[in-house]
Amino acid sequence: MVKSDRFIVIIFIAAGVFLYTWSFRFENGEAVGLIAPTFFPRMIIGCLIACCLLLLIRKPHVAVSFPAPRAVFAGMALVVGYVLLMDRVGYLILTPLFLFLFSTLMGYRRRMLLLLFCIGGTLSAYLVFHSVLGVPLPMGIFES
Amino acid sequence: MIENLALGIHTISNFPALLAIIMGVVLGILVGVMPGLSASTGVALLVPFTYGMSPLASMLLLVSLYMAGEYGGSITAIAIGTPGTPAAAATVFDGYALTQKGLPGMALGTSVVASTIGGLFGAMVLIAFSEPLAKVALSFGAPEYFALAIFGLTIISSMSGKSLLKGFIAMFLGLLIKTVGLDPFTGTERFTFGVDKLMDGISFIPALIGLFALSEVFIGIEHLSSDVVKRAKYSFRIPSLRELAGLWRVILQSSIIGSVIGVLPGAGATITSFICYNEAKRFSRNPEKFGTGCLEGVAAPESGNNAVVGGALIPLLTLGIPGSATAAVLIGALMLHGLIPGPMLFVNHGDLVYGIFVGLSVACLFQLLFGLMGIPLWIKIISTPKALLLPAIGAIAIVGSFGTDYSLVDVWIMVGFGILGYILRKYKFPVTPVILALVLGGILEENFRRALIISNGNYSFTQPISLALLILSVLSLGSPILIQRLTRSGKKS
Repeated sequence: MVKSDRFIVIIFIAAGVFLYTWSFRFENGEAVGLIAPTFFPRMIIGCLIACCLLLLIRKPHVAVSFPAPRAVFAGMALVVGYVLLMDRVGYLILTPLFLFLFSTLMGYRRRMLLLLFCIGGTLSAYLVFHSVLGVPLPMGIFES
Repeated sequence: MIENLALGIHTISNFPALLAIIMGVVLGILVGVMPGLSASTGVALLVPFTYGMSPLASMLLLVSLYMAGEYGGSITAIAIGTPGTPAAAATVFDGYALTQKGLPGMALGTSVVASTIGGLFGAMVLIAFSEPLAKVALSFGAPEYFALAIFGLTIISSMSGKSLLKGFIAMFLGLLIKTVGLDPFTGTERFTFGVDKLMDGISFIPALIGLFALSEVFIGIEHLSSDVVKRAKYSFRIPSLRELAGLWRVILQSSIIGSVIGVLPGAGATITSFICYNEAKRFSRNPEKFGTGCLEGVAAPESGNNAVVGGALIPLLTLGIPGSATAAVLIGALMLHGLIPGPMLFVNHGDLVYGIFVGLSVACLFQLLFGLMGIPLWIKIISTPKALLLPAIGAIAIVGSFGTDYSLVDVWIMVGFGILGYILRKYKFPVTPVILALVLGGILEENFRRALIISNGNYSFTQPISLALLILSVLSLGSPILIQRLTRSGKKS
């Protein structure tokens, strides 16, 4: 993991350059009231890049520590996996599984309590979102 | 004003409204107690739960949570020396010292009473000054709103921590993200990359949940092994009425400071707490006792940070400008119910506005009740292992963002913002300017372009209100530096 904030500043500059280039693809870009649809995005990108360059040439740079990069990546992977499978597998199966795996990843070892937490938490949230608030949570394999 | 107060009392005099206040206070205290969860995170997490509620009930719930969250942060600050919210950091000095002396009940009792009085004072300020400010705001046109958006964006100077430049970068990121979608004047697609859902722009609520709640989960994973929260054990002698009465001057002084700073967009509860602590020490007869466990040292920051709440709601409700991170989330909640904060809110939904004002005062009283009654319970909640808490936050963040528009695109937006928030926070970039820019970016661009169209290209900065706001913007950009210096001198002394 890159520990200097220079890394993220360079990423922002690269993203700014890419989006500035992309803005030439805007269609129907005629000006209304002297300002075209490209004006604000380009001005903001310009300011963003200017601030990034200022930060880049300034010293000292912040050194960042990443105490548990693998655990964080695993956590992100669990979140992404949950969202990817949500539509196909469904909320009722995925949520307790997500809670179980996440809590285990974080070092929780009391299995019985964890099981109760996963099932109880899933059903409580289902009750609130689906039954009370009427949010149509994806049912996945239970979909009729 | 009396008529409006009566309208507010009438509006909230029903079971659902009172229940919403009670729930908000209880949840706010719980959120404040949990180290790592701030009032803004709590409000962001709770917003999805308000979809099916009436606008009044949902706002009462969220505003009560905001108020009680500021108090709740002091509980862990006193019990284990860890502020539950950033605004409770100054409470640690004397609150934790009292716990170490074996008198945590004195600190907890002082904290809840001072917080309640500070909150009530802030609510009174809100009731007294919102209406005149709203009347002034009614005369605003496009140039004034453009200048107002500029003024709102200057808040980032006090939200940027040590690096103003990083605050600006975060703000420009937010402004850039806000340009995604159809151009408001020509309908041109901007940065939609062929995704139809993005034509409406980036959904605000999922972005908010991602930046505050999900990024908190990722940060929490890193610190799990080194952040074990143990159950505290202590006795609960609370201060007598005589002891509390002796604190009237410091509570009044801090409440005034908190209300004034709260009205200034962006100064925030954390800076307020330090300034109140500093001023209480400066005017105390026994300044040498500060830091050793004196009740004044607990009462000052706590009354100050609760008085901020009422003050922060003034620019939010009257002008649509968020005065703090939590206020920015509250704007999202209002918009969710089709309500646009600003002067027209007073005209079209006066009952709602005055209901919120009176509800805030009632929330303070419930906060006092639950704060005194719930002390043993708060400690039990503190001991909830983060290994259970953080996954639950993650799951609620996902389900909550899905509930915004029943769309998985919104969930992906939330995940994207969660990762962006994590990266920004790791590299010491403040995340609040991103949210601020998402709120104000549209107002800024639309009103600037509208002003140009109206004036046929001869937009002038010399109109009185817009000129005053632009001058205020310059002052607002400079004042936090002065406040930071005051705070630093307070910390040093």
